[in-house]
Amino acid sequence: MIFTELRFLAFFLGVFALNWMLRSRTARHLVLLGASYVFYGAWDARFLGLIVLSTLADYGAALLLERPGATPRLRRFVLGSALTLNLGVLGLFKYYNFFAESLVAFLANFNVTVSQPTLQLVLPVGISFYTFQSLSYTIDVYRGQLRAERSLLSYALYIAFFPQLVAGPIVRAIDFLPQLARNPDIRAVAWRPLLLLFFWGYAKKAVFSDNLAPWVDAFFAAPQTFDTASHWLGVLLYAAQIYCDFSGYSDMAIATAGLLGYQLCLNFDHPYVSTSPREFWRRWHISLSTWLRDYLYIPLGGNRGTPSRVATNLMLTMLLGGLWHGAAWTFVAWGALHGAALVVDRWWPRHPDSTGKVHTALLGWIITMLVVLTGWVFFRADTFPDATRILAGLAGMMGGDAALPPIFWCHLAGAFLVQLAAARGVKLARPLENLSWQGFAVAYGVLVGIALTLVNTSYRAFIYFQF
Amino acid sequence: MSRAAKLVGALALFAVGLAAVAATVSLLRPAIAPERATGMPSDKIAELRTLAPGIDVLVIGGSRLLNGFDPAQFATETARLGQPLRAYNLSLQRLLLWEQERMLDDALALPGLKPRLIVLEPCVGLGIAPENFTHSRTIEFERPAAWWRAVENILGSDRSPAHQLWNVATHTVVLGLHLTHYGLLSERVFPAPRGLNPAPAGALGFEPKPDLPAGAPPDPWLADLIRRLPAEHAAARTEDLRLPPTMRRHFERLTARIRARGTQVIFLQPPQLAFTTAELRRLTHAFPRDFASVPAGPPVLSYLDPTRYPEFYDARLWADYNHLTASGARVFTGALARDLAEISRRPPAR
Repeated sequence: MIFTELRFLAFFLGVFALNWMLRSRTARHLVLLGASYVFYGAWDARFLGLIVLSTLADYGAALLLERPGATPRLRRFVLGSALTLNLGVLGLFKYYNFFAESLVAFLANFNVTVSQPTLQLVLPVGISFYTFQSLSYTIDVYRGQLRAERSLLSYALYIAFFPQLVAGPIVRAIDFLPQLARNPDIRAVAWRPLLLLFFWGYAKKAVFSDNLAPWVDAFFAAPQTFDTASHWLGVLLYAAQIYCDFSGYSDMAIATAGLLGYQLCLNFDHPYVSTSPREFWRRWHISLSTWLRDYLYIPLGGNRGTPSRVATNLMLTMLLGGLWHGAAWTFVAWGALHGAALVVDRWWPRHPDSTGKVHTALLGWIITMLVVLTGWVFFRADTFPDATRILAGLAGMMGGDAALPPIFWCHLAGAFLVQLAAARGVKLARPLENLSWQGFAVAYGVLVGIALTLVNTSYRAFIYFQF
Repeated sequence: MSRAAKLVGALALFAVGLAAVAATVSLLRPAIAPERATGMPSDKIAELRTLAPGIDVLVIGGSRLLNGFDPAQFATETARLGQPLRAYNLSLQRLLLWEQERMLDDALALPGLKPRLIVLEPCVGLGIAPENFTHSRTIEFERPAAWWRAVENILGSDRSPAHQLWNVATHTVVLGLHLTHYGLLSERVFPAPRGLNPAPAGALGFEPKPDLPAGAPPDPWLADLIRRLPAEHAAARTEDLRLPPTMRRHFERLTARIRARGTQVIFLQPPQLAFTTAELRRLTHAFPRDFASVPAGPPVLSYLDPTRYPEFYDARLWADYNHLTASGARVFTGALARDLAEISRRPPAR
């Protein structure tokens, strides 16, 4: 079940009605937890067991961590066990075949032949997201930054809350559990901004991402047939597609949670206007980048230590960030590229007089976009040879005669200007938010009507479900 | 104003806004979208129109036949067998029963088309689970008459009343979406890639699935399915199972309509390794016995028995549990050519 499906609308309306009809906080939590399991089970009920296992393990681990008299040694053991379980399950389902195949291929270089013990494992949707949520909770409790949650119901709901269960944002327990301790008030719901956010997320996914997808697929299936300009356009279209797809999901997730009375964190903040790689990572998949910062980069030593140590920390963080996205070396390369860019960015000489100047920002934006686009080539390509062929095509060193429709340049320019305006604080939706409720209802109908005429009617899953 | 009244009012005004867009698009439609881009079904009917006088065999099924039946090879094989037959593969991905009827009607209305044989795949699965529709195609068929056919099939299925209600609601909403011009303008604003990867010339509606890479081992899961298949096939008891009445009427209607034109009808069950539900497995196995065993019932060519047709049940020939690869399609088309050439020699059953 995904947000753009008709059955999700029916599902959500039912959950929404029940949630607000009930007065008791516990009853609401029970409804939301049941709905979350139904939502996840609609994909594959077998993997509900993994969520329950992760929930029970981290719930219990946190209580043990806070047990009076728990020695540091016991606490370390409990934390280690919880991390091993979570990462073990993630590793088994997501990375086992990747590492087994890589090992076999590596040994083959030395003429050592071993049989490939691959398993036919299905990747449970959303496993990377909820595993990171569980990990952050246990680590926060271990660090003493968060009290262990006594209510199993609240903790289970934190892990499984359906708006963000399968594709984020990665919610921190420290942000979400306190919300569950309160009973949301329907009068506090900001209906108009949330409905507009849901609409905008839907439009990004169903209108923009899905309509760009056929061209992106066509380009990446046979890039050698396209001319140089189309190579650039193809990669730019993919950049637009993945942004609209993922940020569209996040927008709908935030809006859906908001309509039920809960707040999720911002996940995207106009990333393509960034003028440096560091800024890009403050704007792209914010919940992941902050997670990596707090639970990986800083524990590794963060900014402390020698420049080479800091550079190593940055590279390691981004390499693992790349691997988080998928079990393939192309994702590792994507992470390595961004890691290297962050290292260069950190020690890039900046003249104080140039700060805030238009030409500096423009140069920074161009360099950042080159890094980001090169990264997307690795991210989208199936293999390294495919990626290198596309990079050669971007450099004009290979290609054919086929061309992508030039109209897409206009679409991209328009979309970028809207992003730029929004990033500069122009509130494009404010006139709609200021309408009377009657005017808003009509305007919303018009917006939905326009979107419906423009949607791509072929079903497409969200790209980030695979991660 | 109470909160409930406000909600009802807001929904009504929302509908007004939606209707305003639909009305505006309707008025502007001749200027902005003179032709609806209908995709694969219309493309196929359009191609068939150009080939109509020369077609002897029309095949209308789901993806198993779309990916499994190669009319070009069929023509070569039947010519070699001394019974030359030219075929067109009118199959569609996820063909629903009422879509099959619609495709048949559209094809039979083509001037000059006088096939000797019409081969229908009984896609019983998509008759009982119509939620598996493909939006872009369903819209084309979602006219009131087609809507009623859908509802009739849904209500005739043995799904639970709640499931039936949901399916009727879904189809009704899809009809509503059609009326609000769902997706009508998307190709005007975002041109779709047409002609970039065209179907190979002479494909005649066939869309092969790629073969496994050379030297690649077959999928162990598929190999395991095939190992277990003979026992499962033998255990498939269907004596007590009847097709849902609406589904039965559907096939009877199609049979009568085809025979009224003096054309022979044959039902074809292509090979398959697994079924998504036990209900689908039972219905599929029940079809030949329940539907075709009646006096003068149409012949059913069923390739589901792995013991009788071991040539299909090789994991290297399968792209997944449901679809043959191009190599698998070659084996299947060869077998079908032999069987249909044999059937076409006989006088048609009436």
